[in-house]
Amino acid sequence: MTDALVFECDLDAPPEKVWRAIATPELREAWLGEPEAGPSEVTRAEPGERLDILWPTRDGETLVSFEIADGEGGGTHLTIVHRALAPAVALFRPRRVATMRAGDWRMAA
Amino acid sequence: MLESDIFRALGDPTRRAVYERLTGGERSVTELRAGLPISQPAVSQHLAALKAAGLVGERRDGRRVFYRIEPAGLAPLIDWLGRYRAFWPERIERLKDILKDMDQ
Repeated sequence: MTDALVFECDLDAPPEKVWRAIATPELREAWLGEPEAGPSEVTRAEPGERLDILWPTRDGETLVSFEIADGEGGGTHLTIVHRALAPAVALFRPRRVATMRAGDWRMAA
Repeated sequence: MLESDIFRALGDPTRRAVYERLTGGERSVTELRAGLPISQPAVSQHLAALKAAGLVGERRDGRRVFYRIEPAGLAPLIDWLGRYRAFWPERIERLKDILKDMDQ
């Protein structure tokens, strides 16, 4: 049982560009859209490294963290952690459930 | 009842401890209370909240009441995970498209 999803992917774009696509509200909305149950809200921004947004779902409040790191060949390694907030977290420990690389993704144990 | 009640119901550490004890099987209030630094009425209150959230069910045997986990109670949590398991790979593909269109 888990209450967090973790996705990792390697992107063929430099970290600063990926940061812009994630941190700039208009750009982010263009690929991510808006949550199903109310507006999203940025709760933490570490330029070039990490952005946290509150993401309301119809099952409750969740938090999405985007973590940016240098990838191979000048690219970017992006990690997305999507978790339910406080309540269930301690009951169901976050577990790595999926890894995505170079366009295709696989479930991890 | 809102599905988000599940998140709230499990937010309280004592309530979560009560819930975790039930994962071991059916228990009476007295059994649930053993080892917890709270009164029996307090345990009953937590059980009422867990019941209201659909997480716990009860069975009466004469004057005694036994509590157990309602497995279906966690379904909304699992729904959430299922929806977003498909959501993120698709959004990452869109992010890749946007990165191609953006200026350097």
